[in-house]
Amino acid sequence: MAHLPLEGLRVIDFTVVWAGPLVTKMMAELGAEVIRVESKEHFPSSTKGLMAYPTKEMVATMGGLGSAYPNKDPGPDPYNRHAMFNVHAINKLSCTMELDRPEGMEAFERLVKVSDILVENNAVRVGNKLGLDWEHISALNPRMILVRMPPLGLTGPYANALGFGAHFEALSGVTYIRGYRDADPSKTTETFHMDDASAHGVLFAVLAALHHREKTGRGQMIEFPQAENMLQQMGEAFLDYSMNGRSAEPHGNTHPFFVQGCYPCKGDDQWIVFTLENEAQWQALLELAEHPAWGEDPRFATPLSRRENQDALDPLLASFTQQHDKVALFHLLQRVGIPAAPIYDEADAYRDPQFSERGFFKSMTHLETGTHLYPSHLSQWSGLQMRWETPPPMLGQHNAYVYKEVLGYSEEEYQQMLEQGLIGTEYARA
Amino acid sequence: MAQVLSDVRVLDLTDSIAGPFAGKLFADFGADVIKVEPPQGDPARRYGPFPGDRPHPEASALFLHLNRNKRGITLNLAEPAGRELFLQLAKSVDIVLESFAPGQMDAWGIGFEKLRMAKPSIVVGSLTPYGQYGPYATYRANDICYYAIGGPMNATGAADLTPIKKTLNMVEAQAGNTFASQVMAAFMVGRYQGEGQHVDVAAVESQLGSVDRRIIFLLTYQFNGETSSRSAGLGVSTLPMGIYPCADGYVQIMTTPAWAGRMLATLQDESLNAYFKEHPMAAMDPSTAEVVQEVLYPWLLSHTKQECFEEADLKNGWPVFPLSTIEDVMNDPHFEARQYFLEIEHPVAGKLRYPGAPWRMAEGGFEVRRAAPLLGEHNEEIYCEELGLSSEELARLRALGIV
Repeated sequence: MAHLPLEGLRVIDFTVVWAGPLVTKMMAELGAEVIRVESKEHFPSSTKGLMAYPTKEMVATMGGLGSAYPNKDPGPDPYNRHAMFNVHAINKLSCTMELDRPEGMEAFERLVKVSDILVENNAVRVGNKLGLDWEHISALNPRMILVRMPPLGLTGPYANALGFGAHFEALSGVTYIRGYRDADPSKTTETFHMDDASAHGVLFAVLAALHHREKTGRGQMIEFPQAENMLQQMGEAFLDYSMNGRSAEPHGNTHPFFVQGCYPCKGDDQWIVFTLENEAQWQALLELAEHPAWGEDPRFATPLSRRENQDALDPLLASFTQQHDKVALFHLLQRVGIPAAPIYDEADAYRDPQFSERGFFKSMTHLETGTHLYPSHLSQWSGLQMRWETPPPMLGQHNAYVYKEVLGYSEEEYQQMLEQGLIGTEYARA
Repeated sequence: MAQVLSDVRVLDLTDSIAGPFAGKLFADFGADVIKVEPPQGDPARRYGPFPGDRPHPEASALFLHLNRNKRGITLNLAEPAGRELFLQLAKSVDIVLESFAPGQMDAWGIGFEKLRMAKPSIVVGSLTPYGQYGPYATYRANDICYYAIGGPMNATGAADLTPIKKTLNMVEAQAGNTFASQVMAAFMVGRYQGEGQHVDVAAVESQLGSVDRRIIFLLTYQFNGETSSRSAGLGVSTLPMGIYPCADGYVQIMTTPAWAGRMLATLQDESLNAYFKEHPMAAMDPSTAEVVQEVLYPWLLSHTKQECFEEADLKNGWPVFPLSTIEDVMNDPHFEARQYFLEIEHPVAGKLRYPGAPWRMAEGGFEVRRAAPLLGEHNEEIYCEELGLSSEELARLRALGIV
């Protein structure tokens, strides 16, 4: 019986915000021992909530991600209770380590010597200051696979630019062309596609580097410029510019040559999307719509003319979709071979039979937040189950294990570190 | 030095966008990826854009980008003789990538169980919209559908307008990116433990498991019963947040309360500085928004998007980023300095600039070895030189429409 591919490997998880933590989540699912190395003196914003210690009143006014606590109650230790961290922290361990103190650096260097992979996605300056550079790391452990994932790379005029994924999407051309066709660009809201693209790219890169290490015995540094990785997903737009000098304009929900859109359904803010790829699908749709008069309109006689006259067609399609429940219409359209999907919010997703049957949402019990259904693995394998074992760790929860068993500190030394406040389980209060 | 995946061989049976994106990652890092097309070719050859907007099956931008570094053969799997040939080819590979309807490979007698009998370590990656089983297993979907049912499309766009998809084919590409990472993980089991795997990836789940807000919103719903929406956004701020016009276009701004000082350092306005000094809680006070706007708007309109970025972000660490166009990106000094875009010569499409290395490895990293294959370009090389067919046999298979 085979074991998971990363079993027996140790990962130092020095990541913040979203992109880095998703990579290490997948590594933990693939069997690695993932140890989050966290500073209790510096609360990392947008990693475990927006602030370390918001009050209940503040949470009530923040809404959205600001209030993603169980029952919107931040409790005495909000950072252990926030959805944005807990959702990708399953199977991970947490220890605290202050790399700007000599004792912390010594512990870190011990950890580097007994680990296989180090992933960090801090600003370039921060990573360099904390000794996450290859020179320092490889001197301690030449077999280490070090991943540094600054948004714009380690070099170049903007290497030190500061922002979140959404900002680098703006700089990369995504945000402008992602806009509505007929509304001001200020109507475009943020996405964080880059974070997700990075996580899967890094996982692939690390596995490839491990394969290389098996063959050569050597580790290496992977420079992972998150924006450049994302630009891979836009190749046709860059080639179009190179071929034709054409710089893409916002195209909303439309498709280059098919009729495609997002149409309202019964109820408040309920929608369906679909694409009409050929004549047969158009005819099937007209039949579902009980042969409306507009089906005979010469402007809509061919696939090409329908696409050309889509602005006139859209309200007519909407007059049809509006009469239907989005999920019922989804099944009707699928039955006649039209690629269609309802727009789901989270409640819809949790009650969907497809996702239930595949067991996509899995249960996990956490001491502080209770039992909930979490999104789980991104693939299913014929011969192996990915790991789903321990709940999201609380800050420093595994200090004793890491310091004594992994790093070899004595009980006495460990107690001394605790007393001196070098390690702990609470963030400093500002 | 050999590339990291130079000892890995992949048969890529996928077409269109998502599957080929995965094959491209393997190929970019050195794997011998053999793209298998039906005799009429991958539909992406017909998608474009094309040079001068003149359709040509060898010059589709989408195809050229997604299939660089691969070799290409044609093979008709609908015919028994084609499947026979496929089984011979599959013995020599580590990975098969496919995106047929669930069960199609088994129905043809070339599914995972069959392949594994000949090669126990083989990995078969299957990418479909909803995965290999479940009530929607045969349902159809594409870029916009994956985002609608799987991703946070409900929370993307303005509250008073329709939900809006991501741009181009980026959701398809991300499904391929996910497919690649999952198959690569299974390959490590096949190679080092000798046990093959069938890897089932659902494109919709690549969105449902996306860290672009979706998984966070999903657990938030579990925690407090709140669903996401276009009006809720990510939490409202009284300080500048969102997209604003400037002298020559638009910029995207983010100002957390902690960054108010960086904003003041950029705007350098005495009355605004005084206001913040007099009101220590200004960042939390809704009436601050108007006070800031009075200074911010004229400043923005007197600076270009590039000047805004340099002054605010690069100099003062206040995130104000340009809404770059594709043209801006391809002429940007940063990507220029890093030599990101690369020229690749193709016999039909000519010399074009492509996105370069997705990431950089100290050893054995990205290389451009060849442009995308012409339809059936490597038929002789692979069927005759590598598989040992005679040229007469190949001619016969051609005549039968198998190759």
